[in-house]
Amino acid sequence: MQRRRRDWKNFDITLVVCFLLLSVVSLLMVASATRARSTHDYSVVKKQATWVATGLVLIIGLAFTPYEQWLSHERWLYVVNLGLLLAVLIFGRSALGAQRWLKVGPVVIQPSELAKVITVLSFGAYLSKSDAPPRSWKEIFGTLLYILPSALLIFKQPDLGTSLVLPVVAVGMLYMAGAPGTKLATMICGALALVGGLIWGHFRYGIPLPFHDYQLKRVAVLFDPSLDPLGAGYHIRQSIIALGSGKLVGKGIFMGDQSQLKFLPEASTDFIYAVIGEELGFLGTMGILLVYLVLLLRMLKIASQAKDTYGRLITAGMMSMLAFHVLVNAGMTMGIMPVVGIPLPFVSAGGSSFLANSIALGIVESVYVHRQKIPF
Amino acid sequence: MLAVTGVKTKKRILALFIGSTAFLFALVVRVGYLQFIRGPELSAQALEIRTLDVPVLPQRGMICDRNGKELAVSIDTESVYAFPSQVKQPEETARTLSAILGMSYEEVYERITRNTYFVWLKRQVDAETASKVRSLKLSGINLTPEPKRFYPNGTLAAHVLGISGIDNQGLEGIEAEYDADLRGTPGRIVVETDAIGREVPDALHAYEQPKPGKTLFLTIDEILQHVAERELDRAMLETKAKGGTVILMDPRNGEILALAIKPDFDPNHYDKYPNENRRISAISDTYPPGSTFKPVTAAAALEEGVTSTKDRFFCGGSINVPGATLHCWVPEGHGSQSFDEVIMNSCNVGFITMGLRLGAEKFYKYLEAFGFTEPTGIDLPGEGIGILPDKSDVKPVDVAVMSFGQTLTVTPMQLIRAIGAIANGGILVQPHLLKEMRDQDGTVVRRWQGSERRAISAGTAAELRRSMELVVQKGTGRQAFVEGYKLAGKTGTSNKVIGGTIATGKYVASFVGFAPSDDPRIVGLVILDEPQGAYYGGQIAAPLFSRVMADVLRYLEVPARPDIRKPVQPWETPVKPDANGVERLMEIEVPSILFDDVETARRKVVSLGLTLTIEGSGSYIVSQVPAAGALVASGTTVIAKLGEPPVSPGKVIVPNLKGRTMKEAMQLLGERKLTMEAEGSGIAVRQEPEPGTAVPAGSSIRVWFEYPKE
Repeated sequence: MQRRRRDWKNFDITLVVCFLLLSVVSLLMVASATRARSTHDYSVVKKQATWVATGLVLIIGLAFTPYEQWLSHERWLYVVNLGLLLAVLIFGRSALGAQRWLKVGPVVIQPSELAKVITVLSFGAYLSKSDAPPRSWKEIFGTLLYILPSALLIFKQPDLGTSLVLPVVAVGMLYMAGAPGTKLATMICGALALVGGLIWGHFRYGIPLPFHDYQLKRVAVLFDPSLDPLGAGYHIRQSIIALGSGKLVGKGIFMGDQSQLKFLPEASTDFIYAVIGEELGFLGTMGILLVYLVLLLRMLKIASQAKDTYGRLITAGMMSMLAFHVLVNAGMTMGIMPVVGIPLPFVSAGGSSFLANSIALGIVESVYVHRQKIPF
Repeated sequence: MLAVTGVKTKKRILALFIGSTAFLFALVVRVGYLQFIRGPELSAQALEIRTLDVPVLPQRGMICDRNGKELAVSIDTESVYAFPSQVKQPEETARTLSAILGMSYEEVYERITRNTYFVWLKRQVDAETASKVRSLKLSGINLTPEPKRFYPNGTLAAHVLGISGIDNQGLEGIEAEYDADLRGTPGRIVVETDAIGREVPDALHAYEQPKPGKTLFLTIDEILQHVAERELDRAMLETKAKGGTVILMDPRNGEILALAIKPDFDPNHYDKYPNENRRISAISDTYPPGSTFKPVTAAAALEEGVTSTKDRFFCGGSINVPGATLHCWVPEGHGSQSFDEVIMNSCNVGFITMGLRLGAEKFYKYLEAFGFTEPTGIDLPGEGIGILPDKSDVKPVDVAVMSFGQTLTVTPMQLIRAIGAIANGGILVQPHLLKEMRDQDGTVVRRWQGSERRAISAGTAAELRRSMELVVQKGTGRQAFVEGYKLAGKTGTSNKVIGGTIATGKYVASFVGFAPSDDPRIVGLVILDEPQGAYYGGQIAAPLFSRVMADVLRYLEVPARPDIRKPVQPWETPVKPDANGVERLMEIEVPSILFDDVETARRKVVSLGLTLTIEGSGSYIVSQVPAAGALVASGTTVIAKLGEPPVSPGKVIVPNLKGRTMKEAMQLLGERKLTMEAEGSGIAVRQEPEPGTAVPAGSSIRVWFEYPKE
């Protein structure tokens, strides 16, 4: 009991407040986006409420579980991760043209969501076990080979967005591990230039690429919406109209025409940020971003106070993951990021993503709870 | 174990701190831009996306004549349209509809699957088709009332009415001029839908009722329009003219009672006629008015006091003006004439004299006063104005020529307006077609409001009415006479000017006049464009005017006066009164026109009050009916046959020189490589060999000349 009380005293309440704020917004907006009030079908909202409750339990549970134990289970984590992803490939259920789900008893899980947090934990362990941060190009690419199998398996589903998360998280962790910043920056710029060049070449000269055309178009329409006005271009246009027509204070919850009338595709999941924009206006969109900012900055503070490199690395990894999700998801609803199907953390409807993010938050909380004690 | 220095970690955490803040700030900026700067625009787009607008066209306003007879009406039809997003079974729907609508399956299918929210399938279908479509209750297929324009009288007054398009838009004529009033306000059905086109229950769902257009009452009288068109058609047939115009106007207020233009078109099927048939030439085309303009010159001269009705004018057949010698239309001249006789005879020299007395400054003052420098303001689209030489460039010779209606051009509407001012006592009115406009309850919402101004004094106008009456009684316009009525008018014949040069052999014959001349109720202008054969205004336009006026005056119930009868002409010397006391008219001796050319023959025949019809082709008249010397009634047609007399090689035919001056005779002989031996002086009375004889080229012909005895 004694220990418990002390742990509670060390508990970071900000993370949980942010989590709760986002969850409340999530419940309201999911209700609105699924038109629960007019259809009286609250099933999606109820499910989301279950995820919120489960998420909260996970956070608290993980917070008081010493994070160092994941360090020793690195190999197991790696194997389980690959195993789940392989299972999806073999036994997975497909929906919407992709094979992403795995049915375990009554529960349907999306291993790619879980893969993100597991990768952070195992890759963090892998990095912190080496003697020095990777410095040469060879060393940097060598470490990236570690995440390659899972990234490829996710890409194969196909889930382009999630497979992109892994290298981004890896780069964030390498940066925190002390790898040369200029080399990391060069790598990012090089990758972006390569991707851009290949897509341009594909549409211009028909260079074959191992991607589906719809994936490439989602990127290409950012620069030329007329490429696919009724497909990817349609999503972006409807989303921008929804956001923009919300103006300062929005049309009110349940009152957004774009979302209520189903002009907005995937309103409760990928495009929920546009629903917020339409119904809660600029106050809503800015407020949400503010909560994320607090969350991210708080995580950075926790990283700085971590008692060891592993704690710092996994905190940076979780932070990179959340930041990338927010950037890409909000960005795509505003027409500045490609539509790659990445959910908005803690807000988009969907259990796997919600729970994976909760796990991430719980582990960061654990890093805080078990932080370096400042000697008096 | 990996160990990183505390300083490096701090630096990197700070970098990530700044980075996170920066990218979230970038997102805020972007979303702020969308929601503030582009907010209104995107809101409008949002509304547009989710409403389906079904147009409900209003009834286009009726157009009636002055007595309420319908000239253009809207009949109810329905149009079939589809919301492609609501069509459930496109194949089956297309199959069913293609049979009913008489369209191909492919076409229907293409339309109902088109990626648009609204598409017309077939517009303005008949009632039976509409009810069939309605009874099928196909999802996504609907009907909306769409009125269709119908002109019950076909070609009648087509140019006045104009045409209108399928979308209720006036395109020409009155339909275009008053389009805004006729159109009405369209209503609409607004349906809010979701993304797949289903109607949203309890959502924005509005029906705006269309407002029908206003009913126009024109000044046109259907009966008079019919009379004008009937007579114009007949005259066109007789004269084989290329085109024709009849305008009837009430001189007291400018109301146009009839405006007939040929060739015409049927506004119900205007696409089946050449486009040029739709030209409202009476207001948009200009022509040299010729002698019909002369009353304007006379009015100006009287008004300015440079001439009085007591003045006498001498016409010797031509007049010298600085820079040119101008001829009268009668080569031998009209001799000494009074003011009235100048008008009666339409003597060019007399009018040139008046024009020269006026001078350019005053002449132009009256061109302006009579409205020749401006459009008449008639309520039809596309009105033109005549072309006048620039006042600053005008030389006396130009004024002289303009005095008898050449050089300048006018539109028919400008001319009738000017003559209207003489008829009504000096007021220049605004010709117009709209009488009044009523709304759907029959309340008058607008009455015509025109402008008018004084052109000349009432006294001058009265003098001219009297003179113009003489034109019909005993002048060039005798054929315009209508039994029982006093008519006044003026004939006109002008050479067409095409591309700035005079087109030889192409004439415009016209007559402008009014009746009754002592209290004019109606002023009329008739024009025949490029008649074949006879082309003098007095020969072909005056009879047309007479026939139109006879019906018009009776229709207007202007009392006929039994004492007004066709007057006796100078050459028609009464022989003796018959048993009833009616004076019989002496007949006219047909002149010899054998071996004359067409020009000479025409002059001889017409100057006697006969008309000439030419048959065949050739350079001489080889036979004539009736023969020379026969006695016939005034107005009889002499038929002349053209041909080439048999000529052996090297021989030529001796022309008929009788009645020619010495100069003319020499010219005629010279053209045929013959020489002349003249005896005496004056006009040719005899020749040897006789006309028609074949002689060797270069032969000499003896001609005896004498001065005619007065």
